[in-house]
Amino acid sequence: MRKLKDLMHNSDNRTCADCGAPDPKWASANIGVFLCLKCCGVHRSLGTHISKVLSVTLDDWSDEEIESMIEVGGNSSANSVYEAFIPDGITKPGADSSHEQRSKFIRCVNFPGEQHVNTCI
Amino acid sequence: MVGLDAAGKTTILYKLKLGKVVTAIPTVGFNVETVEYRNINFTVWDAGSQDKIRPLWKHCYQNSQGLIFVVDSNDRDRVVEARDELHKLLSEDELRDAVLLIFANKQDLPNAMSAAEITDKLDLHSLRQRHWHIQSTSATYGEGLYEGLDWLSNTVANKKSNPIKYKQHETQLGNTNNNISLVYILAWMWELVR
Repeated sequence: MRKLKDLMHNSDNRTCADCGAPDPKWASANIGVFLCLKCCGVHRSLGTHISKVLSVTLDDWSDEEIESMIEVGGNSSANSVYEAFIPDGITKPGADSSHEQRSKFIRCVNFPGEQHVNTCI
Repeated sequence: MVGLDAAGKTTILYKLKLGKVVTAIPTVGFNVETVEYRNINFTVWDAGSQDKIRPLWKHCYQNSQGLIFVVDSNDRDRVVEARDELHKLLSEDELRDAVLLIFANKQDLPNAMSAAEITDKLDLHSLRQRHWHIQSTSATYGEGLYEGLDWLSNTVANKKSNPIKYKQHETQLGNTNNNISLVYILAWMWELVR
């Protein structure tokens, strides 16, 4: 847990990977990003097989889950892959964006290959 | 109403209460709402379920007549964890008389386990002296929720009017009285012998 909290305190992980809201305390263990409460709600709604959301402070993490977060290396590193291509008409949400904007971005940018969640067209 | 995190408890609660799908964020703490259905008021407690807040469940289920346990049917990795949490709950003294309704939720997802498979994986057939029922649901589409509440209300009502239950209760009282009588007799004998 110490290693995970150290990673969370890296400067690039002090804002939500999806909307930039400050002080995220949630994470998607399989994607390897730290998220705010609102964005983690969107991740969770896609199903645990797509994004495995855990709380850094309230959940018990397995060693594998922590290692997989460390392997990804945090928000900047993950976003350099996921946000390398952002489709036309999709804009990155801000901390005050609506649920719809957030949801559209997360579905289309983070999980474009997931057929049943891809509603960006 | 309890279950592992992301099983769909808050979505179920607000689908019943408001008739629509709310955008759920993880519940830290709990939500409590009264849901009216067929002239019965269900006071539903929806408790947050991250590992470290599960010990707070016991403050929600005191005096509950029914326990709704929600399972994410699509989460095959954690069905064992769900089984363990369920059996731990059922061993709690406060829940010994509660009837058990299981919502096998997220049936709309492509890889969802069937109610029969979940019955098996949760080891429900091993339950003794427990009224239980499993209901397939999709909270997002509102399917199965009211069927579950029908079972819950019928079972709680039947249990109340079940004379066997009262007999058991009387027997227990009888035993208590016997114990009290025994104490008096011993006290009286002690008076005689000292």
